[in-house]
Amino acid sequence: MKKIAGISMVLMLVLALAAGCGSKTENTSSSAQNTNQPAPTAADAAQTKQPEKAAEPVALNVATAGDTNMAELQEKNVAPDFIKNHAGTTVNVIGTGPGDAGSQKIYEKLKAQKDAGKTEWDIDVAVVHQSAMKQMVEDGLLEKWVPMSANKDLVTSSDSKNSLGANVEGYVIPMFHSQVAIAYNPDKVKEVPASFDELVKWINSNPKRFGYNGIKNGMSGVAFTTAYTYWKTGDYKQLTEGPFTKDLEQKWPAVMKELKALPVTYTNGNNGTLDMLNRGEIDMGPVWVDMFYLWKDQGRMNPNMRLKVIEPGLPGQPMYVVIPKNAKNKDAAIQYADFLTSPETQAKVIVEHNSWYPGIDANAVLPKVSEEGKNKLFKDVTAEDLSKRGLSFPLSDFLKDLKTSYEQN
Amino acid sequence: METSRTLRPLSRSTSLAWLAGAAMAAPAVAIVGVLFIYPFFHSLIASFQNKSGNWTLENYSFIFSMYVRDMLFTVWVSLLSLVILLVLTVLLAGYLRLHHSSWIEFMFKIPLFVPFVVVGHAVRVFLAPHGTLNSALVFLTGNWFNPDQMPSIAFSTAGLVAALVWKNLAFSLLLVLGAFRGINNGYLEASRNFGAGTIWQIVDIMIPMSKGAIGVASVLMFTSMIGNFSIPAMLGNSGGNQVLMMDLYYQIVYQNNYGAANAIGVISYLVSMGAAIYYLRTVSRA
Repeated sequence: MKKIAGISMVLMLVLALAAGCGSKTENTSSSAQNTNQPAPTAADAAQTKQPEKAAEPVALNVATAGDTNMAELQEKNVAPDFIKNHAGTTVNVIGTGPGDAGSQKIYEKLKAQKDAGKTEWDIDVAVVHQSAMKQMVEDGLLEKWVPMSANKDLVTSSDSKNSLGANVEGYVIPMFHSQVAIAYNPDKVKEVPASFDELVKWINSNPKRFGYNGIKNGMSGVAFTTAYTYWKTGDYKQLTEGPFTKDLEQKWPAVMKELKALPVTYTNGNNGTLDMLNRGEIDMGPVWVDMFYLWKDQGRMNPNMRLKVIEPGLPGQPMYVVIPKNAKNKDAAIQYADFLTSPETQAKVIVEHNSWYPGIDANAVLPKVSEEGKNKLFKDVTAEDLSKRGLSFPLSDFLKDLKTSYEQN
Repeated sequence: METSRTLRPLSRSTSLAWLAGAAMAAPAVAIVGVLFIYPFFHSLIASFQNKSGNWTLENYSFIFSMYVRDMLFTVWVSLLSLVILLVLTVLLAGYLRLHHSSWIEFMFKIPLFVPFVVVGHAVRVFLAPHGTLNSALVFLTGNWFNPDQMPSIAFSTAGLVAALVWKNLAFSLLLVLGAFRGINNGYLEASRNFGAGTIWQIVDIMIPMSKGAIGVASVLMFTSMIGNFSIPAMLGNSGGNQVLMMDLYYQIVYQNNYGAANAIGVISYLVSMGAAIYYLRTVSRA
């Protein structure tokens, strides 16, 4: 079944790409604007041999994992501005589907092209989750493009170096950072818990008023379970940096039993938690910060609701901008990736429009964000909260076992 | 002689007829083969393999250790929904057979045109603790009752059963009402002459005479409920027991464990097949 799904996905991708490649528009050289690229790569060599190639229009293929909003983000908010300054370039956006599975599709496509011995791969820029990074780096599918990037000095976060235990330094610039926080209804929750200790006390004295989605229906519940485990075991460092060892997992059954004994309401997803909070069926619950603000912006959430990142912290995750090693239009790809990770785009699209935390150094981005945007995003979750209490998810092997342990106990 | 007769090669016309028959059946057989038989055997084989392709039973021991309660829950929810569904269908179809009402018939056939996902969402909005139903009750009774103290129907087994029954009612009504309409009026008139009311006409005449159609409806409804994903996904209870399709989805999307997912798939195939075999053994021969 996996094979069939994989093959059909590849076929769909190929069709989507073929449809995009067919357009012939007026040409402008893109490599001419890109003379500052160091380290001649295979693609560069190919281009110097065939100078007439530079005269062709560039059709850039941008593949992104994630829900439809991720493809829309590239299509509507990033690509049009990019094209304005790069005449002759067209951008085809391919959405590969939500969740880690979407990133897996990109990995499989690149791996298939590598295994087939192709020298020109048809994905130029990809946006992927953390989970896919280990395989992608180990299989040599990615270009170490960060040193060539105009924004290389702004790549400072720890998740730009370590992705669930895999060393990704140089291969990625985070496009954004997304954080889980505890959302609450200030009309009902008068004394807001500041730590997991206080939260557990609150849950016990307010049965059924705290809601989360277990682990099967979305990552905010996984994040809460993970954070609870971090808090109970104190093994955060090894769980996120390795090495992977089963010994640590012996503490988990007791932790999971305790967690599942709490009198909570189970919601049916990230949306479900927001839904029940908004209808007043629960008073508190873990949510993704960006979804929370999106709902507020759309008028689907009571504007009084607030957020808090409690001690010792809750996980968040980035999505990464990567460039495949044999990308066909590598120069244009780097330009696009640079545009995507530039302070301007980060301020306008990532922070203001999508309520995400910037992927590059916030100090470079925030001066360009409007006061309104800053107030919204950093009112409840401060920059200090993020640096102190914005945690990572555990190594993928640990995370997998953690979810299984939750199910079994 | 007998022997020469059986050994005689097929005449040209018989073999042509056979070929024509085979050609006509081929597309249907091919579709069954490609869409059902091949994936089934593929799942079956994959469910006995681990990640490196070695033969193993670990997928089954894994899912039995994790999901036995979910399997029982799935069968229980499906059977409970089926029983409620059959009672409602038979009563409704019987009523409509005797008292024609195109308005009632239309009302109950609406779910036929509503997708599963929409039914799930509608039920969760309608029956949630602060959902449409309870809010309306609060409004109508002037805050006399407190929705926080009402049991949450939407996110419980009751909500799941309600949604499954409502969605499947239209289709089973279609099947059973057709059979009831095929019953000769003479039988019903005769029973009325002996004093049978609506209920007894249904129980004594319509049900026995439409056993086959009711059997088909139950097997179809049961397998559709076993395999339903959208409604539990919208209503599901991630804390308590889940239906198997949610576990299957979770194993594929979140755990990338195709072995376990295939094993769950095979188990659901077997449960559905059980229903089909039961049907062939009993209902179709009756």
